[in-house]
Amino acid sequence: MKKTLVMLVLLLSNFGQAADVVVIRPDVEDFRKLNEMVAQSLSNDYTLETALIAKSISYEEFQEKIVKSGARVVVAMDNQAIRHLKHYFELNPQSKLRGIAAMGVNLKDLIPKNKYIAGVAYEVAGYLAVKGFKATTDTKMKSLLGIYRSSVSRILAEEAQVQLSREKIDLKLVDIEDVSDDALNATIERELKKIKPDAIWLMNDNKIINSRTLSTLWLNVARQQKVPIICGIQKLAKELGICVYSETPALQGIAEKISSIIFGYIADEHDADFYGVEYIQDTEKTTNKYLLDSMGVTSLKQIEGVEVYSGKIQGG
Amino acid sequence: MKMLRDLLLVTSLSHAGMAQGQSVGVFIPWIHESKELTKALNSDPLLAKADVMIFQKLEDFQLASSTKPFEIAILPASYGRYNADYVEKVQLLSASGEKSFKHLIVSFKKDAPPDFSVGVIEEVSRKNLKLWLKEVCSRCGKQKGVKKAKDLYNMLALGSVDAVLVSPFNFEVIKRESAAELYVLFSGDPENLPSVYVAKGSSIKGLENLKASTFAPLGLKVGVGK
Repeated sequence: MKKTLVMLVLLLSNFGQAADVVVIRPDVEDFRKLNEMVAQSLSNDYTLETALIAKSISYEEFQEKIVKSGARVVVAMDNQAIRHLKHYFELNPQSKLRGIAAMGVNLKDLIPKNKYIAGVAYEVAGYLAVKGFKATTDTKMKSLLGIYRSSVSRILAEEAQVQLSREKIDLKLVDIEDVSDDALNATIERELKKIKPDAIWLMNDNKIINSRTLSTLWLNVARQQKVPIICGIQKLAKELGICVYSETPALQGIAEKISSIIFGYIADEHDADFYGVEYIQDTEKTTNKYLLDSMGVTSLKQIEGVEVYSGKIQGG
Repeated sequence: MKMLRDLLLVTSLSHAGMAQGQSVGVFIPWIHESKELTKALNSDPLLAKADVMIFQKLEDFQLASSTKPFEIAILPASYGRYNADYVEKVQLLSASGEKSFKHLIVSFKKDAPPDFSVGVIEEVSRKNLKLWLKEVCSRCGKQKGVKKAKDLYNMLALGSVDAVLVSPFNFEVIKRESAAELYVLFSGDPENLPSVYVAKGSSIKGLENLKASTFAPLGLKVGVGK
């Protein structure tokens, strides 16, 4: 009873002056920048306030931030905040509030389509990365090997398979969920021999990309076997010289998606299931000249927005 | 002889208020490479010294224009209907001489589901997007916007929408770049092709003398002036 009363007081105290949107996020540089971009993009239309939280915030504290804000739309950044937001709607199915999840890992898998929370994926779609690589290098691509873990990025992997098949690219997926670290190298070697793919697509997952796999597996695949690796970590396509091409999210692209969902919620009265978790389209693209040269790819095209890294690579 | 004619033309135009080194701002929701279009524009004798800026997003054009309007702007027909800062001077035509076109509603499926969602390029502000969509596609319902023309097809490919609203020009580019099977569900309502605009209050004349080939990267040519 006391709790309800406190909430009511909080609500009333904000009556008439609540912002349209509240961004609930930890105090991290990238999140701050993204927050600013969203605010700027909405500046003519909607008001936005920010509630800073500790990364380890409890559910009760998180809920208080929502209630206190009186906002119509909540943008939650970081996985802990996103989990709390999901929980909030489980407890309040009648809520008119709508949520947006951003800057979390594997949101495609974490948030199935629902009425309350839409999201913006942080991972770049396999379709986009592969198409970007194809356009940059003007290479033919028929078969692709995708490495993933089903408990982490099943949807990301499977959607890429469907989307690439429309483009007549055959993505063979290898789920390493039950493959031990010791057996990983042999598994990948076996698949490479069997499929002879035109390229490999690595999903961001610490079981797939870590210091051990980089030095004992992927370095060899890229440099000795000369198989092009497409990934989502820019450093690997730059000085580390392992990925021939990387596509990573541009904050501006995430900000645009978030603000367009906010607009859809408020102006068009859409529910979250109209969006689901959307992929971004605005990305940072990097290709590695040293690796391309070593693979005999000479058809590199100057494409707007693709950075060609031609600096030194480690051990190159 | 041709050189002399061009020279005379440039001279007479500069007398008519066409200063050298004009600023030209371009926002066209047609998929194109900025470099190629800049080159084409600068190859026109009238715009040889023009300072051309190409924008992929409407908001970037408007931001740049808000500090100092461009003397000449190349913009979609919708711009004139929703904004008052530029005035249409020369209507551009399709290669076959048409003044208008119809958007195509394109999907991976042969039939649109009822209440289908459609991806559109934000060639008007987000606030006006719904209204604009009704003008160019009265049968279209729920829309999702994308800022850049080159990102439109990806909305469909990434499963974000059931269909996309594409100009015939963009459809040709998409078909060249994609191996996917695409279906045209139906055509939208007529919309005028883009125009050459001038800043409101400007006295620039003679833009109808731009060369027909100047807009070739957009599949357009100069039509009759207003």
